Formats: sequence, C-alpha cells, structure tokens
Amino acid sequence: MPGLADQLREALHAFERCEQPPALIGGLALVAHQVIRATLDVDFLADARDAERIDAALVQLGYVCLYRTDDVANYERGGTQRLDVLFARRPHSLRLLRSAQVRDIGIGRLFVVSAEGLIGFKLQALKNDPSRIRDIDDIRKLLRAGSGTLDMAEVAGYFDLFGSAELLRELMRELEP
Amino acid sequence: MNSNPEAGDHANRFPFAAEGGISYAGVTHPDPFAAFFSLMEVVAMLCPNPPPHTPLRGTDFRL
Repeated sequence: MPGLADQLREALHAFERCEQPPALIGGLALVAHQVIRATLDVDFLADARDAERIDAALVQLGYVCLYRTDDVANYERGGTQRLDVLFARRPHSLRLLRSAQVRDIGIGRLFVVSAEGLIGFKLQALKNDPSRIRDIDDIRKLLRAGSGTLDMAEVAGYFDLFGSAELLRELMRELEP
Repeated sequence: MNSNPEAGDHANRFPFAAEGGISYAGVTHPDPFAAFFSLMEVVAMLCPNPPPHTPLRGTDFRL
C-alpha cells in the first residue's frame, strides 16, 4: 500500500488532466500554513467542471467512490486511504481555487488554498454542523500562525458572512499577549 | 431577477460548500508506526520550517 506521499504524488499526476488544478484543503492544507495536524485524510478543492475527469482518474488509481453529489465526492482505497474532493461551484470557492498558492514540494507542484480561504471553509463547516468544534480550534491556530501576515479584512469578511463577527472578536482577544 | 427564491437562499446559507460528504470514523491503519512516518514525510514537505513549539502551560502533566 503506497504511503501518504505516494498517494499525494499519484493524485497530483492524475489531476494533470483537469482544466483547473485542484488545490489542497483540509488538515494537510493546515500543515502547509504552519498548523500541524495529525491527519491522513487527503482533501482537495476542485472545479466542479472537472468532476468527471477526477472521478475517472481516481477510479483508474483503484479508488472506490463512496459518495458523490454536485458538491462533494468521497473516495476510499484499500480500507486505509481516503481522498475527498469538494467541488467549487460558488463564487467564493471558485475564487479561492483560482487564487490557490503554488508550492513546489518534493513530489510535484501542489496548489494550496490560502489560510484565509481555509478559515472560510472552516466557518462554513461549522455552520453546516455546529458540533464540529474542532474547526474552531483549527481557526484559532490559523489565526495564531498567520498573525501579522493574514489578510484580516478578508478573514473578517468571512466571519461577517456567517454572522460570526463576535466569534472573531473572541478569538482575537485570546491572541492578545 | 431570480425566479427561484429557494436557490438564492441556498446560496446565501452555503457560500462555500453545502456539504462535506460522508464523515468517517478514524481509519485503523494496520501499521500505526508506518502511518506516522508516512504522515511526517508529508508534513516535512508541506512545512519545511515548522513553527517553534510553544511551552506547555499548567501543572497537570502525565506520562
């Protein structure tokens, strides 16, 4: 069974057939923004127009599609590897996909959603399922790791979008020395 | 003019994504050490200059 690096390398190679390169989101994307999370889950944000191409490529790699809608597709391989694809169909997610940061890592060229964008997705996940309090901790850590470099106007805009301006004020108070 | 008010409401409630798909319990890897080293290999690629550890606070430390 290939390791996580091989899994990523294979996925990046498979995604070369996409019109828009998918970008890393989720726990591994946090790592790329200096927030270390122990996760073996591989999550990508992809253009919805690439859904069929991605499905064909992943099935060819031996993945089984567990679930698929217009918004998301969950894949599994060998009982130990998961790969999830969130489809960008809305203006915010499409903009974040197109503005994803490029990282040349040892296994190839990887696109990663910005830290501000990850906070937006975390807020959406929290709104969709308020029991996901782990997302608040991730946001807290992204704010701390990105202190001084984050575009706080963009971040505040996302909190406003979800009616969570008070939560941002609370988190910022925690960061004060 | 939007002829479908429900579509507009849906877009307002889910500006990023409407769902994350099926959640799943943590995968039990047959070799947890191999899984750990596999993860650390990728962490080193994604974050070659990790942030310094923050000192532990509190008094309740256990092995």
